[in-house]
Amino acid sequence: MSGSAEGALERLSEASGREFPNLLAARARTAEGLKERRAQPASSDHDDDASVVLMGSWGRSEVTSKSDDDFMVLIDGGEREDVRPSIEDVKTVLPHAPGEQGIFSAPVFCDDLVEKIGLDGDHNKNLSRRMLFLLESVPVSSEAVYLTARDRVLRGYLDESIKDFRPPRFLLNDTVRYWRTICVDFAGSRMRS
Amino acid sequence: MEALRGDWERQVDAAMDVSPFAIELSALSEDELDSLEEYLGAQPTLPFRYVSVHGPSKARRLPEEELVVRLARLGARADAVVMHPDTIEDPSAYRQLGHKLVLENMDARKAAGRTTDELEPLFAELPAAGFCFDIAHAWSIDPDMVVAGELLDTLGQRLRHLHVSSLSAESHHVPLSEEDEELFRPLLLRCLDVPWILEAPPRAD
Repeated sequence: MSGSAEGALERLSEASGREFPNLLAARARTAEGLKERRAQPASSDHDDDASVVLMGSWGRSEVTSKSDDDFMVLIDGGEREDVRPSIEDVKTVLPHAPGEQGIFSAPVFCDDLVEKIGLDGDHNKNLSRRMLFLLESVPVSSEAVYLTARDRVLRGYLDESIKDFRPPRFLLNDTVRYWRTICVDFAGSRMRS
Repeated sequence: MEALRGDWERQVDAAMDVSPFAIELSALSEDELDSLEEYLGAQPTLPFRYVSVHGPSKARRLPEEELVVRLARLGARADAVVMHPDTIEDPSAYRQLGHKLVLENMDARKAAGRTTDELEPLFAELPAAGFCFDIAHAWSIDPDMVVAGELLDTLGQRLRHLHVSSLSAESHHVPLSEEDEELFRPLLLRCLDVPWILEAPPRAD
């Protein structure tokens, strides 16, 4: 989806007659940073169904000097104990990885993203990971695993709700739910602090 | 498929062998309109979740206003009525079909309705109409698939269903080849949320 966003920036520039030097610089910084990170494998021990995925500003191609290396180790399968590369291994090659495990810096199992859309199992963390994966993510390793997993997530929304109109409401509703969750959680966090 | 023309029950059976999800009943020749009206008029129990009817582009004799009235009757028993844009003389006559009307992009043999630039004026006159993306037709205009991408970029929000096949040297619809499947894949992945109509039987493999 970041490819579409880049196209949108170019169209906006063309239509408005304005340039966007900061966004273009961030895009160049993102490309350079990705190249560096892809050249440094986190570990020689890499599961066949794993992909190290960067999220947020990396997925939007908007990396700045203050951006974190928000990552997950995506597994195209169900939950298990041992995941390679380990979170610790990945942190050794991502200089700005967040310290604590939360939404990021964790193994994420695609089966959870696909099979827990809605209902109790779809807690905020699962929803946020799924949406960031779809909307703002880019693979550092194993692009084929990343693409297969993303296709599975999209099919989780679309296969049972194919309709002859657009946009697909099931996916649209969950995207809206994600943005609503961000806003409500932000306000809730401020109230508590 | 050609052997089944006009035999609606066998067309339904053949479609069921592929999928119970969607079907398109094609009266490509005006000569087939009567029997399609008769077939759908009997209100057969069709198992499909999406039923499209393809209006005639060949052997046209009916005055356009009369044709549209008959298409509207068919549309009452279907989810969509597909028309070839190059056969439309007076777009305003088709407004009565509302959202049931679906316009298909044309292949390289046709003189109109092939590209975004050629389709947009028609959609401007028929704002409720949907878009049927025929990926093989788009390929015949531009094998690099740039035109196909532009069609989805511009008309994607109107997309109602797909026509999926490859084209023979004579521009006939044939089963999707492995080569075309790879070539079309990025665009097909943008259309997972709408019904696909296979315009030729699936490959044997």
